[in-house]
Amino acid sequence: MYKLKTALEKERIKLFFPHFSPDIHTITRIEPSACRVACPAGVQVKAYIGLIIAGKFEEALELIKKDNPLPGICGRVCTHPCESECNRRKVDEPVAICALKRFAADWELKKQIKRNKPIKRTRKEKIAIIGSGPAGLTCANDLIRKGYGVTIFEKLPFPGGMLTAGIPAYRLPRDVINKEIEAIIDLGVELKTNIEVGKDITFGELKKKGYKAFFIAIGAHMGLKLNVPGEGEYKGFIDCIDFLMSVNSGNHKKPGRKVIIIGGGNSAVDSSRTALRLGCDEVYIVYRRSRKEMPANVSEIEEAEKEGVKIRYLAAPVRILGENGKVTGMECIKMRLGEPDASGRRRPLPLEGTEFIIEADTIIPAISQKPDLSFLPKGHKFKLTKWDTFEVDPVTFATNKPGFFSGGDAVLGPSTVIDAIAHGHFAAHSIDRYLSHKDIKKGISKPQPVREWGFGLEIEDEIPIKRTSIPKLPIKKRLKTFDEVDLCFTEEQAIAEAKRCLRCGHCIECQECVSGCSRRLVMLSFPHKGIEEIGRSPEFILRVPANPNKLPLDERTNDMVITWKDEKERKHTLTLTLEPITCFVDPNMCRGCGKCEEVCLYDAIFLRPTKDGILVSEINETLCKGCGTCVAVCKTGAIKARHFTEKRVEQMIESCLHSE
Amino acid sequence: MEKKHEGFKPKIIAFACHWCGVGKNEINAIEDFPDFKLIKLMCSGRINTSLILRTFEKGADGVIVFGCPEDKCHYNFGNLSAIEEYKTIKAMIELLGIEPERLRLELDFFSEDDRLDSVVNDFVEGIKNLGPGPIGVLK
Repeated sequence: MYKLKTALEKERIKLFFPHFSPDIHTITRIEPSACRVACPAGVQVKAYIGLIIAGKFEEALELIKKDNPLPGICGRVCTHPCESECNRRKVDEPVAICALKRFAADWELKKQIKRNKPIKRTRKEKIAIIGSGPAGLTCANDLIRKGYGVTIFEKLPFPGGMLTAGIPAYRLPRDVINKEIEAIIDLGVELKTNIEVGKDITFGELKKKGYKAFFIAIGAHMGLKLNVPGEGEYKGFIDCIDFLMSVNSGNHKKPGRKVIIIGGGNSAVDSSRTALRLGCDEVYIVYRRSRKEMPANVSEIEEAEKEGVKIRYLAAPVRILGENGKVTGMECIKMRLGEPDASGRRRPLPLEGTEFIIEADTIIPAISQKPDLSFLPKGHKFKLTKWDTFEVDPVTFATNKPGFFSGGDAVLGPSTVIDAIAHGHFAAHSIDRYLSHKDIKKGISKPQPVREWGFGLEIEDEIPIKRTSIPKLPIKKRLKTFDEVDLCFTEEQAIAEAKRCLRCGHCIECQECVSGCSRRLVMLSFPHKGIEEIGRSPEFILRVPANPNKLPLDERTNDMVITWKDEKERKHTLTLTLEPITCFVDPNMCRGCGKCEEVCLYDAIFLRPTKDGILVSEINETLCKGCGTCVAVCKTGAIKARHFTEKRVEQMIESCLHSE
Repeated sequence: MEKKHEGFKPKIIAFACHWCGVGKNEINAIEDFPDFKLIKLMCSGRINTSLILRTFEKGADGVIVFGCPEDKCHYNFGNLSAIEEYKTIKAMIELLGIEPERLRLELDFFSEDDRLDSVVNDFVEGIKNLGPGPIGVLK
C-alpha cells in the first residue's frame, strides 16, 4: 500500500502491525546473548561478530575496546569462557570467538591506525595503581577516561606484569603487548617502572604526594612449595615463574638436557614449550590427574605434544634426588582418581608401592602461585585469605581499608587475563564512586545469568558448518625460535567463521543504528519506566521514534510526503500523517477498575496510585502497540487511541486509490 | 451491458479487521487480486457512514468490509457495531443513488477454505457489471 512497505519489512526492525504508519519502529532484543554473560568483562561478543560479517572491522574493534582494552592480548591468550557457552556448540562446534577478536585487533595493528590522544583531566584526584598487569592497565584505562590522574607503579623494569613476564613470546609476541600498553599510556597514564611500592616508596609517602586511592593489582608471582623432601636443596631446581621471567627478559640459555615440569596448568605447558625452544633434549610434564582434568587450554596441550613434550599423567613427585649439589632426578608415585573434591575435579590418591624414578638435570615446579606480599609494611591491617590473597568485597573490590582496592590475581590467585580485566573495570567503577563520595555498593550491576539460553532458536534446523581451524606455524619452523605459533585468520576466513554465529536473541546490539542515524533519532534505552516492574515478558523492545525531540507524544505527529509520477508523467503528491501507535489514559476519567490491565496483551498497562491514593491505570508507551483492546473494554472511555484518526484513514484511502 | 464496460478495471477498497483471518485464510491474500486495495483497520467496527461515503467520493467503484464472525470479535462488540453501521450506510447510499451492491460486509469469509475466493470473485463480477462508480472523481 505504501511505498515504504518494503523498507520496513526488514528482518529485525519491524512495525508490530504492518499497516501502521512508521512513527515508531521497534527492534526486538530477546535477551543478552550467552557469550556476553559468560564473559567476565561482558564483552559484546555477538555485536562484534556481526560487525565482522559486515566487514566493519574497525567498528568491531572499537566495540571490543569498550569492554576490553587489551583485545590483541585477549585474542591470543584468553581462556574464552564465551566459547564454552556458545549456542553453536549444540549444532556442531562453538564459533571461534577468540580468534575473531584477535583478527579484529591484528587488523588495526596492520593498518597502523592513529595513536590515542591524551584525555583532558577533569578531576584533581590522583590514583596510584600498583602493578601494570591486565587488571592494573584496565583500571588505569577506565579511570583516565573518567578524567582522573593515574600513575602505575611497576616493580619490574618492564610493564605488563604476568603478560610479559609469564607468557612466552611464541604465544604472545612482545610487540602486541607493547602496542596495547602504549595505547593506554598514550591516554595520559603515568608509568613508573623499577619502583616497588612499600620498599622504594611507602604508602604513607604516596598519600602525602596526593594519591587518594590505591588499586593493588600485584598479581601472583610467587611459586607455591611442593612440600617434598629435597626441594630447593640442589642446583637445577627452578621455579617456573623465575624460569619464564628470565627467558622472557632475554636469557636464552638452556636450563639443562632433561627437564621435568610439575603441574598441569598453562604455566606448566608454557614452561615445557619454552624449554624445548631453548634446546633441551627431553621435556616431561608430570601431572597428578588425567588429561581430562588438566586446567591448561586443550589446544596448548595438543600443540605441546606435537612439538615433542612428553606428558606423564597420574603421577606425583615424592622426592627430589640429587648428588653433589645438583639435581639428578625425581622419584614419583603413580596415582588413581577418587571422588570429586571441592573444585569438582576428581581427587588424586597415591597407589602404594608404585614409586618410580625419572632422571633429569632440571626440575621446574609449576603447580600454582600466590601473591608476593613482602611489599606490605609490618603490622599492616589488610584482611587476607588463607591463600595469601586479598580479601575484598566481591562486588566493589574494596579491601577492608578505605581507599584501598584490589583485583586480578592478587584476589583470585593464579587466574585468567579476562578475569583480571573484569576486576579492573569493577574496581575503577568503585574507585570513581569512592572519590565522588557516593555509596560504592550501589550502581554496579553484573549481567545476570538468564534462565534458558537461546530463546527462539531452532537448533535442529541449523546446518552444521565446520569450524575454521586456526592456521599454525609448521612445527619445523617453530622449534628453536620464539616466533608466534598461532597465525591470524585471513579476511575471508574471519568473515566465514563469523557467519557461523547463530545470533541468538535477534538484535545483535552493535549500536550501529545509533551512530549511523544522522538525525540522532534512535534511542536504545527505555524512554518510559515500568518495564522492570513488569518483568513477565522475556522480550525487550527498543523503540525508535520517528521524531523524538523530547516532545510529548501528542505533538509528535509529523507529515510524510510521498511523490510519484503516473503513466502520463503527471506528478502526484500524497501526504501521510505519522501517528503515534499508542493509546493513552485520561487520568481524570479513569476509575481504576483494572479491566484494561487484564486484557492488555503486551503487559503495557498497570495500575498505579496517584498522589491522592486513587488507583489509576497507566500505559507504558514503550510496550504499548496500540492494538486498542483496552479502548474497547474501558467502560468510562478514559482510554483512547492516538492513531486511526479520521484524517489518517482518509489519507490511506487516497493513497490506495491513486497508487498502482 | 457487458460490451459497454469492456476493459474496465474497477478500483475496490477492502477494509479488513486486523485480527480476522489469521491463519487459514490470511486476509493479506486479498492483495493478490489485482482490483483490490487493502486497508487494515484494527476492527471492522471502525467503519462509519462518513468513511464509506468518502471512499466512494474519492473514486472507489466498490467497497467491501471484512470482519470476524459475530461471536468472535477481538473487542467483543466491534463487529456488531459494524453490522449496525452497515445497515445505515446501505440505506444511505441507496438514497444517494449509488447501487447498494457496491457495498458489502463479509463476516465469516474464513469459515471455509475457498470462501474468500468465491466472495471476491462474486463481488468483482458484480462491480464489473455495474460499471464505474457514479460519483468517482477519477483524476
